[in-house]
Amino acid sequence: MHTWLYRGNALFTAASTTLAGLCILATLTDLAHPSNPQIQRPFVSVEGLQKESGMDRAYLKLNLTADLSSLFTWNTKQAFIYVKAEWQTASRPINQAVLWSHIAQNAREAVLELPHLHVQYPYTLTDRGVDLLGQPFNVSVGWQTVPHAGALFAGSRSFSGYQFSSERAPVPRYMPGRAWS
Amino acid sequence: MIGAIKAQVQSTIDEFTSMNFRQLLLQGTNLGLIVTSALMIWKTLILVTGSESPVVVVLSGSMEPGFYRGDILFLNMGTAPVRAGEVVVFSLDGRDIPIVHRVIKVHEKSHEDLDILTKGDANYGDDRALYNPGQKWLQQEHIMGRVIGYLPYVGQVTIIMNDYPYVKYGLIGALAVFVLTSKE
Repeated sequence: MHTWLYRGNALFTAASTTLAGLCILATLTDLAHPSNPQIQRPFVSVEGLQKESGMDRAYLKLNLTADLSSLFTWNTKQAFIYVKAEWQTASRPINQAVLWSHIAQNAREAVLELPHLHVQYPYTLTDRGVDLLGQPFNVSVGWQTVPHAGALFAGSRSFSGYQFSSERAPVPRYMPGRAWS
Repeated sequence: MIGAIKAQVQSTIDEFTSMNFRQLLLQGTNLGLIVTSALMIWKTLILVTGSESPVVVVLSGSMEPGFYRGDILFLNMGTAPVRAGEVVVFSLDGRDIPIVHRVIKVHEKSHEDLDILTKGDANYGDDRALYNPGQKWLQQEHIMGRVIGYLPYVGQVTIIMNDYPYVKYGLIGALAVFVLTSKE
């Protein structure tokens, strides 16, 4: 029985099988792509550290010089690039907070030269307690790519050796996102 | 067009009336096999990924321009704890529809006891406004999986089927007729 319905069904099945195969092949080409993101160690300064609603909050400023354009392949739709801080306290061994993020939709937008990067709303570097003083912390630059079709890829580069100030310091007036206290 | 549909319906009816009991039984078994194998594939995916819902359809624009409404995401739970920067799917207590957003804060006491805050890439603020009243953090048990794969547009089919249930019934009916009448 070869009616239009059966031919349509066969055509649809063949087309979707081919498309699925092409999507898998496109993802396989991503695996062979060597990406080499260049990220310079940022200078980080703690501009202020104060108690807000009973929790320590630090106001950071850093410079970001990074070239993540090599993340992009023909199958990359966007790269989500972010900066995050990581620290330890006595009660919580792992604390992570994203400080800043950027969506790059092509390789050109993944070249970053930001000499005065502040913590971006609604991100905050806030501890769950009052244990930030004098603590060391890490700053990492991370990324995650979204393909046109296929697997997502993620990575990050971590920089250590930073330290919160050992005393609370008022937050300067010019700091963006400064809470009124 | 209408003539073609009439001819199709007539030939389908003829197909059924010309069948004897054994043939009908065989075709019924075929249909059952297809349904159960689909179920088996889904359950195997759940087992392998460790996620209770390994494939989800994006329903909102809060992760644009990465994920649009109607795109499909593949999830994996894995054993590693959730970290800031990952995209996770979470479901809030008492709500049916899971949400796909990015983790922006993690405060971890142990691998089982951690507080998570999320945000949609396209949203201005974080997700506290979305959580249940008084809820400030997500816990591990809210997380259904992290996103590992992406396929555009395909989920549009399920959105249409949910918005117009008759399309769904029509498709299921057509598939059943296909399986029952095909002689191979």
